[in-house]
Amino acid sequence: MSNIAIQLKNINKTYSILDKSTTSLHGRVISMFTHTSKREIKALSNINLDIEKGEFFGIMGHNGSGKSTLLRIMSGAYPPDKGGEIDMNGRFMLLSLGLGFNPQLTARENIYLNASILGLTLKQIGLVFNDIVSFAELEKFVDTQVKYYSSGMSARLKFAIAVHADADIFLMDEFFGGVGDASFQKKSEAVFHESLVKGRTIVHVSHSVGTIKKHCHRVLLLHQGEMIGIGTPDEIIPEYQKLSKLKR
Amino acid sequence: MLDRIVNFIPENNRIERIWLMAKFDFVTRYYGSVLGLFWALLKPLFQLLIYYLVFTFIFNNSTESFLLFLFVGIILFQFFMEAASGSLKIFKSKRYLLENIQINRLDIFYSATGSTLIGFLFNFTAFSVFNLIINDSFSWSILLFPLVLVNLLLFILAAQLMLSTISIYLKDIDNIWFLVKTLLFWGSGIFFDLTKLEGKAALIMYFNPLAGILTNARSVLVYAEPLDFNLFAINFSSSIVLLLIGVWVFKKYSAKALEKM
Repeated sequence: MSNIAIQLKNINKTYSILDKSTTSLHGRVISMFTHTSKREIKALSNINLDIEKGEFFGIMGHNGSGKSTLLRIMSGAYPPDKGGEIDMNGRFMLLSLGLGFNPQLTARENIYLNASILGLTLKQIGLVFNDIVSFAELEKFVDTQVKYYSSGMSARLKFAIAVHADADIFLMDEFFGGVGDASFQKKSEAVFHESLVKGRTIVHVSHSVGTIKKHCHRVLLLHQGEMIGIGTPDEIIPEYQKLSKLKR
Repeated sequence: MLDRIVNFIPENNRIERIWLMAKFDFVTRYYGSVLGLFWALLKPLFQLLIYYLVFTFIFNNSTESFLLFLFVGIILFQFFMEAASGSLKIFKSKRYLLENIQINRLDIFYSATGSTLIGFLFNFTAFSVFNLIINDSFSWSILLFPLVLVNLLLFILAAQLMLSTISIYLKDIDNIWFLVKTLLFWGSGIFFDLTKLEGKAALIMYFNPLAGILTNARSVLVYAEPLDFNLFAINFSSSIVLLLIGVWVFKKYSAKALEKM
């Protein structure tokens, strides 16, 4: 068995942005005869990356550096440009505020749906259901629609599902940082350590130098869609800070 | 080739997941209103009443068993319309699922069709009660109805896949859809008998699968007649062809479509 959890080869991402006028039927017809102003924005250039199983992998970079795009490409939401290959070796859950839940559904329904996506059968979900609810401390709100949840509650629920429905890979987009109260933060930190033992892989996109330093084995620094470097937090954080100074 | 066959065999929880998605989609559509399901049942009954009154007393309709004739037309047409119209918004409403590569995107459409099917079955139950009371006997031809239903499901799936993808690329899809909807409403024989049309006009049943499906559904449900197998074969094959086109369009353009939102 390979020891690689996530493998990215030749990942490029170009967004092409169409003018608003070309998205109607009339605009389409007109644009067949005229040159439209189609703009291309290169969001990622030539990313090659192997993330090992059980690794806590950080991604740093300033706004617009392509961090979130990279995470979205890993999760399959956006396809990379032609020639790019993504190999995800395991079931994953995207942990990002405001993504992944249907706000119209209750917590109970979202638990069932998300755990099912992670590959659990209804029977298995039944077995871990209570653990999920009590870990997220949402016993009183199980049958409340998630749209009424605070972002902290929703984050707790997502995290609890990922942990108890046994996601192999956590893709976290600025997931910790002001979310949940102190006791929950403590709890998640404890899980991080335990999970490393269990061999879960964590990809953690963050601005927070503190969290990166504390948990990550390796960090990738992105700048304007390009890989500036990969290394230990001690090697990469100074680079990141240098870029911050330049920016100012 | 083997890969394809293996892919086709569901993983252990795939069917369960499709069922969960269908159930939750159904719940969401009627959420927050206790009367949700009641409205879903009332809508076709109300339409039935109005059309029946108008066509019987104003236009002197002479179609045999006209009430049941209309009932079949209305609930099958509503089934199609609900599914097709819903698919125009599916990229928004199901984005969180479509963006997850761990779900086969087609499963989301199977579940959307399944969810509308649940609604249809409620209406169909209401129809069956009427049918039993008015026809006063059970005809074995009803057992052929599942064939027609499968044909309709394939046609619905094809329409959903095509419409959902096109809706992302053409912002004025709502207006185009309105035209198509009107055309289908008048061209599917909801309140008149297409088999009575003279000459080439009757051929519409062969070109518009919905019209043929309605005709065959009435034969087996209302008139205790067998299927018109020629009509069925043509409708069925054209639905399959449309479905293949739909899958192709969806596979080719859906990933890019998500970015455009």
